[in-house]
Amino acid sequence: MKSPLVIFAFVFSLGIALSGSIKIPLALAFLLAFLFLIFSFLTLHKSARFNIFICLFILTLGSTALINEKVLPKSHISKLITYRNTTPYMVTGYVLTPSTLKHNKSAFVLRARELQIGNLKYGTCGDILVYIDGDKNFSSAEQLIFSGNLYRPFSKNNLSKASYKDYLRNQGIYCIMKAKSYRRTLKANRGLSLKRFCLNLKEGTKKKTFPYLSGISQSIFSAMVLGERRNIPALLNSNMVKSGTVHILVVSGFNVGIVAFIVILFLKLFRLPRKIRLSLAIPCLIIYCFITGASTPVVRATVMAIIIIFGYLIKREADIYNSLAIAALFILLAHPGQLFDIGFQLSFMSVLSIICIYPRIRLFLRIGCLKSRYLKFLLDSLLVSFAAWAGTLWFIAYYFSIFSPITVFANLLIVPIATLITFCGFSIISAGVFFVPLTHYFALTFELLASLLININNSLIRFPWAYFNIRV
Amino acid sequence: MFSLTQEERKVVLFLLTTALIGLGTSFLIKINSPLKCMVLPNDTMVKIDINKANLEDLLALQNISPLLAKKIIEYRNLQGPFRNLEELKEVKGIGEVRYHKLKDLFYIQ
Repeated sequence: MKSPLVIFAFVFSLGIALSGSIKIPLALAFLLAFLFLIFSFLTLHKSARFNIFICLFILTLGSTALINEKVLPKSHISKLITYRNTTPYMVTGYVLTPSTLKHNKSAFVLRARELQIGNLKYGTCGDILVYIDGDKNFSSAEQLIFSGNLYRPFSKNNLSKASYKDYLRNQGIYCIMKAKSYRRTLKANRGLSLKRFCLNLKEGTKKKTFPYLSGISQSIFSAMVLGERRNIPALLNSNMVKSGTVHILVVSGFNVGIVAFIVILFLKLFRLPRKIRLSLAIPCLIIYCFITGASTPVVRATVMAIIIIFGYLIKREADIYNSLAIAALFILLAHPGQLFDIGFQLSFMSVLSIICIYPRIRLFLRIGCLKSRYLKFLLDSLLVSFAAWAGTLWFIAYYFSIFSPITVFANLLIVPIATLITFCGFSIISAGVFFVPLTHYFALTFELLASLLININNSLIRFPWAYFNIRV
Repeated sequence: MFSLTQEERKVVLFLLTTALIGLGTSFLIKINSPLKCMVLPNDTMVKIDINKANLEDLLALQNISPLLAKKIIEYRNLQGPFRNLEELKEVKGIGEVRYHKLKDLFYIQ
């Protein structure tokens, strides 16, 4: 076995899943982890026993990590709210995520710093989901004071089987605030300075590009290039879910790959040596990861891309399974609860199925022996789409109660257009910075492609048996 | 299952031990973190009821000259008690700027 990290990532995930389904006391998990660690040290010179003990240790480490994540400090905001509170809560904090607009309410995550109840003011911590009437576009890291009702989410189930309370908890959110009013504080904005820099870059990009695009194209540009889905029309989103192509509206590995490609190509113009080009691509990818909000698929893709680039730099071929395992461990060590997040599951399952299923079917169908290059390319594209669909089929049926046989064919048509749209989006940004007169023409091409994408998708879901609504 | 060299095993063990210690430390920090609470004073503790304040009370405040204090009391005697703080603007000598300086010093019960 060349990829021990795959086993480590699998065992670690198993440990998290175990403590997610069985209630284990933290002390017990800690004690077991400590015992297995001792045994691992004792069997350091015996390969087989060491492997068993190290796996058991990683398993208990996964459980401990999840239990520890659920332990909240005394000052956590969810521990300070009471049921019989008549005065409104006042929460001071800074905006963590861009706001999304739904039913004329803006929703975003706020990192709480202070909580005031009546004349008592507590220093607090923890993230809360804030709802406020109207389209409020607060900039990230902006420091604000909100006043309103604060409560814990209910455990009622929605259409799928996942509880909303659990869903929020996996995101580290234990409280919801229905804000009545807000005001800005005089203090400087908070948050990581790199993140603030990236968000300023994002705002600058919007200012440079949005004047050239229509409303719908702006929303598609924001979603596919900048990772901001707040303005995607609900109908377009639902139609893309039905055709199984909604993944193109989310920034993922595909976009990260395009960014790496563009950066490397751009630096090639300056005739820089290969190693310098690759080294410069790494910070660019990290900045792009922050610009798009560092969602799980982007973090996964960025980590994998950095490992592959690093592999090139030290002249070692990166193992795709090991890279995927490192990305999983990177995310799960920081937030073990992400294992239960749909974004994490879909992102990793699609990549895993592409790298596991696709080569095997390709070999079985002997596509490599085909003489026509075009037929080979077409079949390869179809197989990649099929592999991703087959891998994520059960998750989509479970979470979205939808089964779309049209997905494989739809992706064959939609993905190339989405690729062109993404390239066009980045071209608009480059033109906006370096050669403004070209921006208008790039924007027109973008409009054309966006309209093509929407129309093809709408036609596809009108096919008989294109999709079925199911209840699992 | 998988084979690691002796050095690789040591590195893996070192990293995992560090992770376990880190988890333990994080847990200890969480359970021992103190809850910082501050009691904010009530309006009645730091402000003056403008309808009950006498000349001495008013003179004790910053931003109020003896003349202005007399004018406030005069206004109150003539017009009756203040119904809201905005009414302060009707006192001769209190404009928008001075009102903003004074409004935080008083309350109305």
